[in-house]
Amino acid sequence: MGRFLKFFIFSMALSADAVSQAQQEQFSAEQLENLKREVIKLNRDLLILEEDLLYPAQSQVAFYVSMDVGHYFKLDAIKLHIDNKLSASHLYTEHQRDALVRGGIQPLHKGNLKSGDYTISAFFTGLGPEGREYKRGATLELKKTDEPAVIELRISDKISKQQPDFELVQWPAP
Amino acid sequence: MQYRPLSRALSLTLTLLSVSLPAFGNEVEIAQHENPAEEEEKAGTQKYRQAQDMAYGATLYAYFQGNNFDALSTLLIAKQRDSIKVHGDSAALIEGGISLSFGLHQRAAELFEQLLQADNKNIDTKYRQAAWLKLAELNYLQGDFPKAAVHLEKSGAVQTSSLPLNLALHSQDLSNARQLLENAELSLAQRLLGHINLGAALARSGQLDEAAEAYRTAGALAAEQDEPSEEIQVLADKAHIGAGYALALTEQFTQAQLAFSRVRLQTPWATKALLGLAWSSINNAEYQKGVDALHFLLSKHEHSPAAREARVALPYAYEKQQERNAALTAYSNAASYYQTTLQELQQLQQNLASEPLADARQFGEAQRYGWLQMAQASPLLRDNQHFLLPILQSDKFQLRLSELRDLQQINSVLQGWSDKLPQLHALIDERHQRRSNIIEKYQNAQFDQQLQIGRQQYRRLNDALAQIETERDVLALVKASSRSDSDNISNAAEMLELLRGAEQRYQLLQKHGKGSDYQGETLQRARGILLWQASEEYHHRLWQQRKTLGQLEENLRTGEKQLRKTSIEASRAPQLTELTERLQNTAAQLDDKRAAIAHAATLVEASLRQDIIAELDREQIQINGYLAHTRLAIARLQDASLQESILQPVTDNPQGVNQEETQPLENAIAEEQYSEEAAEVNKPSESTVISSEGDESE
Repeated sequence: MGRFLKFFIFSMALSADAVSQAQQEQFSAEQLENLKREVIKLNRDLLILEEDLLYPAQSQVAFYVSMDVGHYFKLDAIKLHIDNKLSASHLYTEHQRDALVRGGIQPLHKGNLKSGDYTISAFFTGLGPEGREYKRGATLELKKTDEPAVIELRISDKISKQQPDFELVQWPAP
Repeated sequence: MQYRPLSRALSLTLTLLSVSLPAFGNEVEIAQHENPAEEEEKAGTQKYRQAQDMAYGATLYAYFQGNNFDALSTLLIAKQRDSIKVHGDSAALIEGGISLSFGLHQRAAELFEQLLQADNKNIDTKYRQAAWLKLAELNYLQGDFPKAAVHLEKSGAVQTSSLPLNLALHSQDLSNARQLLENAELSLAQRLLGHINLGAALARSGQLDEAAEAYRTAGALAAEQDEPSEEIQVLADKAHIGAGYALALTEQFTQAQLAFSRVRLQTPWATKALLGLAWSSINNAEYQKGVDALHFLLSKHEHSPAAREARVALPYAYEKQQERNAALTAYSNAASYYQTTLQELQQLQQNLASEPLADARQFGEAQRYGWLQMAQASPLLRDNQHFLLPILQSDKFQLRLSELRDLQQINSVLQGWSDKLPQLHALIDERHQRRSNIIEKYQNAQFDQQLQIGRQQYRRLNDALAQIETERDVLALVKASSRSDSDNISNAAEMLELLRGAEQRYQLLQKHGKGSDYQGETLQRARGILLWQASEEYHHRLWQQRKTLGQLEENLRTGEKQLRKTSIEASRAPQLTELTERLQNTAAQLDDKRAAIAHAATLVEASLRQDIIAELDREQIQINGYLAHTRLAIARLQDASLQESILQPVTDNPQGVNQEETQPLENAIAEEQYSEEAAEVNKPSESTVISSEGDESE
């Protein structure tokens, strides 16, 4: 009787171990790693090249979304307007929201603007405190120069008011 | 028994470490705007803070969504452009972590080693220690255990890491492992896992009593928690299963039953516990308990690997209960199930030969959160997971599948670039053309001369107006306005010219004594009228001249702007040439890399497919074993019935009439099934049937 039990335990262990036996490697791990590293570098060069071509530094404007904490706001969507014209919009998935809450910053939009004055508006939609529907806007008067402009759409918690706070912040030119 | 891929655990730790890094800098900044108590409260309630560098934050954003390739690319661009200022140290650590997740072990090691170089003194001690520890874990992952031990020592984390325990277990130093487990300052989950791994190692070395004790300790640790987390409950289940099998193997069946019964039923691993419980009960002569467990297993998890064995165990239990007919029926059902399953497995093997294991087109846009999520697996794998579960649960297989999907993702990115490159070429050509047109139009001597004349005119008019305004010289204004188109102004200038001529002639006449007073008075009167008229028109003329000056200034500005633009365009010629060269260089590499990646992906996929097919072969061998056993049992039972019916005189037993009415019918059905099966597979000879009689089912 005991032999039967031992047999089946042995057979289970055998099947579990056997699956991990890899086939003979035809492409070594080192070769694969080198290839992946080369491709990542190539992708980097192509991305830089594309940015240099499509968004030259003197006209470049980049928008990022960040979330500091996010207890009082669950972000659903963002719409970005430049001089009252819709320039970008985004609907957020659970994973994207989570990545923002954990400290990630989303590159929302990159474009070109000539030197001059612009009104940047962002509209944030989501769920506010106690799960209420919440829609707020924030505005920034941008004076675009020949330097690239970086604008952060910042969502943070206002502890004193127990409300979310939305602001557009222009970063110093990189 | 490692339940989580080490590389994933390492990178997760790194991520958690790195996301906590931005907190300090941000707190300082916010403290300027809010009161300290408020800030304190805020800091106390939150877990994460935003990053201080956009590029660093963008890297984390991609990484937290499981997109290692994009995360690494973003980080490399930031490094190339030197745009990470605040998180420099943590960027190196996070790059190491992401590289590890992306299978770039060598690169990760290089990064950690760079952080730890002797001349790199600016780096914080906690980062150094973290890097030593990660390096040690990386060495462990690569199988370099002595090096791992050395690096672990340098990290100063011997007490707080589970790595020393893993190293001791790997070197079979089980007493040291036990000692380390007692003294280490580990989290509850790590201690539980440590005891489970120790139990597994003890069981492997044949020390089953000690193994059972280690598993029991793990179970007891979990039981101490009032509200255990899901992770703890999972570990507790694993500990109970381990303890159950260790006890069953030492024939402590009652204890084993108790251990198995503690495993939660609504879990995927409950099948192993139910099977263990059933065998322990049967071996403990509690057959009904065993039958109940097997029935539950078959009703709730009928296609699980454990259920296959349960189909043999159930009739065996019936036999023990002296229910021969029930046993025969159950064996017959099992035999037909095994045959159907074998056919399905063969069909699956055929289908797998051509089905893509990870379709990049299907999953390209999907975010990846662990490869075990069947929703993201290939439909064929997903629909047949009950056959493939053992291989899908293997860390090694999952890592290689992850490798395949990384390669396919890279391939699709490179494909995207191949499609995009002609557009970029066209863009550069268009810019070249535009630049040439502008230069041709504006960068010539005629345009420069016009601009020069314009500048002179502006200067002249500006100086004249400044002097006129200072001296309020209305007649000078009339003269300055003479170039204007206005008729009034032209007439006044003409009159002034005439008056000045007349005055000159009058003075000449006077010099010769011929000029009359009347002529002098007339000239004075004319000058007076002219002055009066000019004074009346002064402001209007001045405004006209200012307007002309403004227009001149605007024209000059436009001309100069155009000139600047032209020079910028002219200076861009080398930039465009450089961009063209860069584009050509990268395009040349692109095709080679795509071909290499596609080749690597094909090899990895073929290897994975071979593994799956081999696993299905093993399953078929196992099922064939069960099938053979089932057929032998059917033959044995039928033989026993036949022997009994021959030996039992009909007249002696009045109830035998009923038996003859029922049993031959059932036996006929069983015989019919048996004859079909026997025709296909190894036909058991009579001697086999006879020799198996009375023997146990082994």
